[in-house]
Amino acid sequence: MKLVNPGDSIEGERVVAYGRKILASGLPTRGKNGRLRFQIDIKRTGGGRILKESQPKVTLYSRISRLDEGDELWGGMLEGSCEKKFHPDDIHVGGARSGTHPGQSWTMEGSCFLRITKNWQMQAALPVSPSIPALQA
Amino acid sequence: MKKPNRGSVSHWAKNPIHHWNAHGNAKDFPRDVWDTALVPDSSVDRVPTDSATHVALEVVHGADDESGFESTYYRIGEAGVILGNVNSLGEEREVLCSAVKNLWRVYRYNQHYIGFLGGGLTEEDFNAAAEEYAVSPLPMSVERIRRAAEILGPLIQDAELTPKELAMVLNADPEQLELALPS
Repeated sequence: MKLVNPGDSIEGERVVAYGRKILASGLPTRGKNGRLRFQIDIKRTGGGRILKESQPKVTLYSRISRLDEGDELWGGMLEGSCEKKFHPDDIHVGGARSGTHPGQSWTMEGSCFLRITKNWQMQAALPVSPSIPALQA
Repeated sequence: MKKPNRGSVSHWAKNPIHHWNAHGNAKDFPRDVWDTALVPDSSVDRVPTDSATHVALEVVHGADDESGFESTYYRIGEAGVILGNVNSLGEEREVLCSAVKNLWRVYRYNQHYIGFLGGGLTEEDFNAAAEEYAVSPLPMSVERIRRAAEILGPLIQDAELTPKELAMVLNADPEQLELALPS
């Protein structure tokens, strides 16, 4: 299922986030399980897809989160958090090309949460290429 | 002009902003410039002393424009207006103090993060710093979020300021902030 409205969110054990500008943001927070969570922002259009469902399959961070493998978000601006530290070296460049921008993707791990804060309608559409390695896996 | 009964509380409640000169004549005081009025010391005994209506702010020594007669004036104002302004200042100070504290924490954490990314800090050191600076967003009322946004928005002056970034400055829950602020 593809979600495009602000407020829509996905939760999973492993989620691939893609977009033109993926950034670490804010301070770490404490998750429901007591572990540290690191926050990211995706700006200038992006999205995310659940690669692995969380176990148990329950929502932790938003009541309306989608939890099925393959569920996907697509928006103008997204925010998220996971237990894996964001490191620019882990970013895969390319595969989410739009115009002159090659796009970026990053695989979130450990109780991932991703939410649309702004829809894509005011942003240029970002075609998602199947060449993102995480999507092929 | 008929001299009003300045000693009555009801008069001050109905006509709070007047300038009284040395002759006891009333002039309208420009309310948009001052929320206070000058009162000569000769009429101070008739100024209502109940702080619920008016409060004296300061003593002003000066000469009357018409007679040149030197006199002492008291700048007084409506207690409600003044206390409202004082409350507003207190609220503003609280929001700004909280924002500075939060931003300082973010700055310190980012220093550790940059150190970690640059290889100057080991993962264990960075994890310890992350534990130290980890936050739990505070629940905030809708009114407080709106007031804080009114105060900080014009200060930050960033057209791309997102609710999440504002939530970081306020240490508030981004979702709660999005619901509180009109898009």
